This record gives sequence, structure tokens and C-alpha cells, in this order.
Amino acid sequence: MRFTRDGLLTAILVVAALFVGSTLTQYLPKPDDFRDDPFPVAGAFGEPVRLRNADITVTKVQAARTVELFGQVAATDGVWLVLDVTYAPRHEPGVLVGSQPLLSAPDGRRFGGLQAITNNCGPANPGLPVACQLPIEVPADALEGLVLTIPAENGQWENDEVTEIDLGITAERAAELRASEAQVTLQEPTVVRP
Amino acid sequence: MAEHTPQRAASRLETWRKRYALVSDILTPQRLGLLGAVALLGVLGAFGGWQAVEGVDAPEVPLAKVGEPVDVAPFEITVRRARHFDELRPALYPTDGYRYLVVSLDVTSHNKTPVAGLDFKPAITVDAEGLQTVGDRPEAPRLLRGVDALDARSFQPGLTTSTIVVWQQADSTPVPAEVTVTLSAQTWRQSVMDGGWRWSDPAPVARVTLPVEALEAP
Repeated sequence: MRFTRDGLLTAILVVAALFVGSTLTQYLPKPDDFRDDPFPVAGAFGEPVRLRNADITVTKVQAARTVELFGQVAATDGVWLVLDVTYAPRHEPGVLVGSQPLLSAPDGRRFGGLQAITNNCGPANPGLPVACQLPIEVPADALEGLVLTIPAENGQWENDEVTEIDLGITAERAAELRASEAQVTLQEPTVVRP
Repeated sequence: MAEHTPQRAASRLETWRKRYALVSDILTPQRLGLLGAVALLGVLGAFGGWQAVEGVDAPEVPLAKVGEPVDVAPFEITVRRARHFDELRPALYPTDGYRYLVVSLDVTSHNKTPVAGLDFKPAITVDAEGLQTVGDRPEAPRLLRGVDALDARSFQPGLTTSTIVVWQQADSTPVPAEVTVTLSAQTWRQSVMDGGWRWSDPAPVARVTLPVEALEAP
């Protein structure tokens, strides 16, 4: 085997091309970076948000100093935000578990999970939507700009649809909610006419 | 000369081989290895290798004061007071053979997402004797919210929550005049067992000693 100038040049160019290519690849987006991301389904307060398996509508947002369910009364050092939600599964029976909704604040904080008092939406059958009230405890300084996220499948926050419903809480509305001294007795889930 | 040297080495090797042949049925290579290992352990022992380690103290955990906020990742915890009582209805009913020993705290989560009450429990221990056990381990305390005496199931980001940590202590042990509460910070990391992410590895960051008061009237 004989080394020639052209052969050497070719080898250098190949190595250089591999180096540039591998460097560029490091900066390209990879499937792993996005594989676990949810698929956000944006919606507005008062309008149905169509997930792959159910329609979810937020019909009312109110604040409370205490919430009551089945005789248990929960107070708070912040604000109880009570969301009136209509949950309408489309193809199969379903239930929206009360610990699933999360409220996202503009500063990145998220509120929700298991509450001192947790109410569920459902079980509900297709064609028979259920109305329910979901209480979520939040700090008084976090009301403005809250966005409601609910996964299509309970507990499935990755690689599946998640609502992004802007609750439309402006600074003025946040001040009203903060000042609320209401004591809300949560309604049990009830079937509503579609 | 060059031919003579290998011959001399070969004859010496042959000599040792003959000598070893006399005992090779007893001193097999495996037994020789075993004897070597035993000798090594003996030498280690002769130089103190099997004595208990001394002079290595656990790192001193700093003391904090009652009412002083302490950064205990992912929380900020302020220890308020310790109390004992037999019942506090409707949250805590009397139990035969046990009294309640509780510590009141203010807890603020600095995490961006809610932290489950279960994940708070490793953050606090108390040095009292006679605590109720599960098997040979102390039972995890129960967490109540000071504001409504319901179970503290989660801590919301930035929301300071008055929290009551409840242990049960055998009433055959005397009521302690004071207790020391140890606060432990945790780390958010991926489990090597199942790959799940959770708060793990509690490590003491502060101790608070406070008197135990009797709760006469709820």
C-alpha cells in the first residue's frame, strides 16, 4: 500500500467532515428531548376543551375561605380556588380524579395534587356529562394568570394530551378572589343535560 | 557462559520441584492460597486492622432556635412548640397505652410543584423514647394541618402551612421535659431501583430543642 498526497488529503477531509458532522449533531434536537412532552390542548374559560377521550369545560371560578364536603370543613392559610367543571367522556366511562388538575402560575409554580378535601368528577358515562366542583388550595399571591392543566388520562402527564385552560384571572379579578370570605359547600358530582 | 546459565537455572527449578513433590499432596495450590489469605488477615489484625474505628465522629448538626426559619430542602421549616395530650377530638382520639406527642411547625415548600405529605415525613424526627413502632422501626408520624386539623396531604409551593406532626408515645414512659427535633434536607433524584424521581437521602441540617408543654384544654 502506498501513501499519496491525494490519499492523505482525502483522509483528512473525511475526518474533518466527520468531526464537523458530529459537532453539529450535538446541537440538533433529539427525539429524547421531546418524547416525554405532553400535547397541550389550549382552551378558554367557559368553552369546552376537546381532549381525545373527553370534553372538559370550566364554567365558574370562585374563591373561598373554607370548603366543606361530607361534613368535613377545610380552611386555608391561602385561598381555596373552587372550579366548577363539566366533564363529558366521549367513548368510554371515565372519571376525572380530583387530585389530577394542576394550576400553573406564570412564575412556573404549579398547584394541586392531593388536597385536604378532594372531590372527583365522575364516574361519568358517554352522553351523560357530570358537573362537579374541584377545590385547589393556592397562595394568595398566585391567583393572577392561572392556567388549568388536566391530563386526558389520570396520572399521564407525558406523551399525552393535557388541557391548558386560561382561567382569565386578571389582577382586578385576583384582588376580588383574595378578598373573598365565602364558605363553599362543595356539590357532589351530578349528571347534567348535554 | 551463555549456555551454562540456563542449565543452572533449570537444575535449581528441578531441585525445588523435587522438594515440593514431597509435600504436594498436602500443600495443594488451593491450600497454599488459603494459608496465604489467613496469614494476610493475621498480619492485618496484628497491626490493628480489626479494631473498631475510633475518632471519626458524625458531623455535628447545627442547633437552631424555636421560631427560627430553617432551610430544609425542599422546605423552609419553623419549629414553634411541642405538646403532649391524650386526645384532641375530632382529629385525635384516645388510644390505650399511648399519649400523643406533637410538634407544631410552619412549613413552606420552595419546590415548583406540590410536595406530597408522605415526602415531608422523612424531614423530621424526634428523640423521644417509647414511640410507637412498626416492626422494629418507629412509626412514621401523622401530619395534620393546624388550620383545620385535617390530614396534610400536600404542601403547595410558596404557601406557608401550619402543620402539626403527631407521634404516639407509650404512656409507660415518663413525659419528656423537652425533646430535640432533627430536621433533614432531602435531594430530588432518580431512584436507582425503579428509575422514578423522588425526594430521597434525608440528611440532618438542624436540631431544635424545645420544652414539651401539656395541652390542658383543646
